[in-house]
Amino acid sequence: MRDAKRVLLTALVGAAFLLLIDNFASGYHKYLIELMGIYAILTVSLGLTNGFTDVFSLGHVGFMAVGAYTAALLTFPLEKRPNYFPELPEILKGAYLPYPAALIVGGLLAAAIAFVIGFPVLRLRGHYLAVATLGFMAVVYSLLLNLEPITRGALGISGIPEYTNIWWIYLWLGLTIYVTWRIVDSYHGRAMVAIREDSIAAQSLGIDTFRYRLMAFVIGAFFAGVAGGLYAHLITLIDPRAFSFVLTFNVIIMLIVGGMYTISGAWLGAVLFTVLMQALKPVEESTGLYGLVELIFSALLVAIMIYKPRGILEEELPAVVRRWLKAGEKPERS
Amino acid sequence: MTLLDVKELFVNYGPLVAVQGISFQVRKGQVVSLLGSNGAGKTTTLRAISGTITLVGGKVTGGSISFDGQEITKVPPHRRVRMGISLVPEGRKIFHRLTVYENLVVGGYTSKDLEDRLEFVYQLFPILKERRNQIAGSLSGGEQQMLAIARGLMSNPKLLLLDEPSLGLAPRVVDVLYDAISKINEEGTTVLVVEQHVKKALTHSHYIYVIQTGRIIASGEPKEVLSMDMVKAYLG
Repeated sequence: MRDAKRVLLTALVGAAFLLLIDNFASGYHKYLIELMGIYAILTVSLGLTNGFTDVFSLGHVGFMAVGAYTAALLTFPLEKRPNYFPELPEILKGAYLPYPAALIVGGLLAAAIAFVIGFPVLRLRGHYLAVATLGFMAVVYSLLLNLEPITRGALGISGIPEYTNIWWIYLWLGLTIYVTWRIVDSYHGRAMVAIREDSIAAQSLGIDTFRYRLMAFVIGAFFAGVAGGLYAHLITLIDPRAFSFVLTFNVIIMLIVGGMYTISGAWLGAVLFTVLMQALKPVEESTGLYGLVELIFSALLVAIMIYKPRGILEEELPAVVRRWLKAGEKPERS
Repeated sequence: MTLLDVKELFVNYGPLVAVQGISFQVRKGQVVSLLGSNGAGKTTTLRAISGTITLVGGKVTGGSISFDGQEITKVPPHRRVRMGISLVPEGRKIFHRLTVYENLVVGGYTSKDLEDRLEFVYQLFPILKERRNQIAGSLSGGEQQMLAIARGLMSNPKLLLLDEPSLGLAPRVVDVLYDAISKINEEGTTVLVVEQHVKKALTHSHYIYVIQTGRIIASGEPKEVLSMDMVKAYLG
């Protein structure tokens, strides 16, 4: 009951905030906040695997790409398809879905792929797993480049209907956070934390580590797929380069800097990244030192790894705020 | 009645043969000790019984393990916990960053009566109740071992496997632990303990197996084993 009230309150405050942005922010700032929301969906869902079950996946952007292309194809205007995709396979010629359904199908396809590749990949550990998931990302990238009848290769798909707005993005971010929170804050969440802390000990206590890792991987991939669909219908143009190493590592940086062991840390990382990126752009332009932003981010990542290896937020935000409030209270007199 | 029956067990780590055809039984309701020096294959044997051997790169290459009448050699470790086997691993392996309480709750992952189990282990180790909100990594060595045993008991096992519970602990703490082990046994849990601490094992076990370089070299009740010259020479 208390949880339900809290969720409702957060949703209301969030909605009021979005209403303000939607009506008063400039187009550019609104776009930044939209992008920030998509990044946050990516980091929170990636946190489920990389943070909570200790599966250091680098393939998240691959799942995002699957969702982006799937959703984009499904909502692409039917009448334009024969000219735009002359070699489109027969079954895709008439496959049309409304936007919300297309997002979900994109997510489901990403999740299905995660399920299939999860069986071999999640048997690996540590670096081997990271390399295998990076390999998956590279495979997706080269498929996007070479499956020209469907993806138009390097040209990419343009003219995707602009369905995504701030409300869709933050609705999905809310859902991502809610689902992640329900998992983490449960019997299953404790099992996942045990796996992260010591997988051998967890297994010797009766926890099926593989099942949990697979579950986290599949759920994370679903939300990455949805984020891809949102992204495609926001930018309206997707090409393989949008889903390459650069975004992969940016998402990882956001997650590590924010704190991958907490949900708050994950989305905070996305917020910080977007804000800093924009704040530093003028510095880069005025000094003419292009690449400065990347340099600063790399330095930040190194500094965080040295001084705060668990990220900025080691605890969930409500717990941190509660402690601050307590520290402000005057000690009781006895 | 035999609860655990190990027959002609062979375990390899890659090309290295760690256990070479050992056979032994653990009867229901007893405390049984496997004694032996470093590298004798004691820990490996426990890992084979709990199934965690595959997680550390080992493999059962021959023989069989049956528990409660069922062949379990191919059963994955997490399922063996549900069947009633619980391992308290060497080096404790508690979750250092979680609280005492959280450690116990994770230990009760397969348990349906969590509150009862908590009550039971808190009674056994009152210090854990006092420190339930403390981070486990901040406990003393002895308390960490108590926590590891308590966590292993949370699943309400039929067979508790203890891997060197006395390692690195002060004699007084070892006494407390062994008293607790006796109590656990009186409550109906069968215990298989691996030890280098011969004296404690002798006074608290019903039956003893002595293991050397992957083979059983002697077995019997504590008094019998102690009287064997060969064992005296080996165990000192």
